[in-house]
Amino acid sequence: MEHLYHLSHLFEFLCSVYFGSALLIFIEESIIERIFAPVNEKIADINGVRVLINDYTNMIAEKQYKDVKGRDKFWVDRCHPFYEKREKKWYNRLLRRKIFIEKVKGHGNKSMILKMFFPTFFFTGVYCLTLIGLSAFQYINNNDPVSYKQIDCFFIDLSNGVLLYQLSTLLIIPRLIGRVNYFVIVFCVLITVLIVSGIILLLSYNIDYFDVRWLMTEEHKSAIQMVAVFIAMMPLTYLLLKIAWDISMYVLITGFYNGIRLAFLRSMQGQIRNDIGGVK
Amino acid sequence: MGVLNDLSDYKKLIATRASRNSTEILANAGPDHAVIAMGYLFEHTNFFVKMVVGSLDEIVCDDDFYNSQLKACLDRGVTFEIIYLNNLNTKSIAYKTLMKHSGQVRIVKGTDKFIEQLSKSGKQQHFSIHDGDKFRFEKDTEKYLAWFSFNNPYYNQELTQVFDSEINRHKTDLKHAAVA
Repeated sequence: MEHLYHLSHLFEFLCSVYFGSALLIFIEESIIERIFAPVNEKIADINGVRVLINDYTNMIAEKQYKDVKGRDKFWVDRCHPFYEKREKKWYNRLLRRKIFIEKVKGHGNKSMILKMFFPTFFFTGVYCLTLIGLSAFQYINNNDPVSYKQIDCFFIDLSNGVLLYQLSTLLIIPRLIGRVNYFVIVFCVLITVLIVSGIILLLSYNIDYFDVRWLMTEEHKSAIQMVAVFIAMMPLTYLLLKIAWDISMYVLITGFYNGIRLAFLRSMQGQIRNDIGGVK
Repeated sequence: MGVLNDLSDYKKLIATRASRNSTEILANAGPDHAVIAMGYLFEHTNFFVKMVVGSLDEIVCDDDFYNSQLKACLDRGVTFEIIYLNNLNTKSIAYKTLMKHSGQVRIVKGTDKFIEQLSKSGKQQHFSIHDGDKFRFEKDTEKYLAWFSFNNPYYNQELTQVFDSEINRHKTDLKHAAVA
């Protein structure tokens, strides 16, 4: 693994990101100070639009309009059933995001985001630091084949453990924050990871399929490098993808409501004209 | 969606549209939403209101929000011209509020021809025009289904023509009566 030493700058950068936790504090502050108010306002607007769409629907319900045709008929026959079918699901997605940002704001100084991701960040930071240290050691002492191999074995086992820990912390901890005592969650995650790591280690000694030490050959040098970078970047990538996904969903759902409202409004123009023109 | 949430959400939306002077044509269904729509239309009226009503229905006209906005409107000096189509409900709070400012208010009974004109669809239809740009057109007076907008001079003009032709009919009738 001495070739990982060439990537030491990347790992150093990751160490500073993970140990500094500035990114998590920045996200939390942004949610409280910049995102909470506009999102809440937008969701309040969407709540109003939902009621309005309901009122629009009442206007065309019970065959109020027997002569619906053209674009209006398209709405009545196609768009409205589609809206009725999908709307609740989309709204619930939006609501989940709203509840989340309300929780973050409600936690105030208790640093909810920091609690959610700190265990993963800290452990991955330790992983990056270990990689820098061990690869540097191998780089300097590359004429000592015994310690060289031992370090490689340690690196493989460590990577396994870190990956399991990351998966557990990223999937379990964020869901339990605020519901279960934080230290109990971290303790349970640690115990789970130790048990799973133990099982994997046991299996690797008995079943060839689980023994990934065959990766330690020269021909798999690049693959190992990729695996190390992947594990080191995992929490950061997960967080960035999650933010991108949440923003995309938010934009898509708010767009959905605006689109439906405009579609309804456009398709009702003929009816409004007929209604008002009818009294002339 | 709970009824309370429904109302407050609708109220917020209408308040936003009203403050933005939105050109959007909005819908209201049910008496509660009718109160909110009329309340905000009154709030944003500065000069005159022309209304065609059934009888000043208590369900809508006696609501606190409706009445407070109506009173504020009258206090600002807004003038009211009202044509009623059925028997006027003189017991309603709205009527009493209007009568307190009788100098600004003119109430006349709609002619049979006018009632017929507004009942072409089989159901009586009411409307109100506020200044030169706002309107509310009640398509179904039993279910309180209406279109309204805070900034739509086109439909405002269309309804003004209907309203003014009825008012002119009254003036002509008065002239004929005087000549006779």
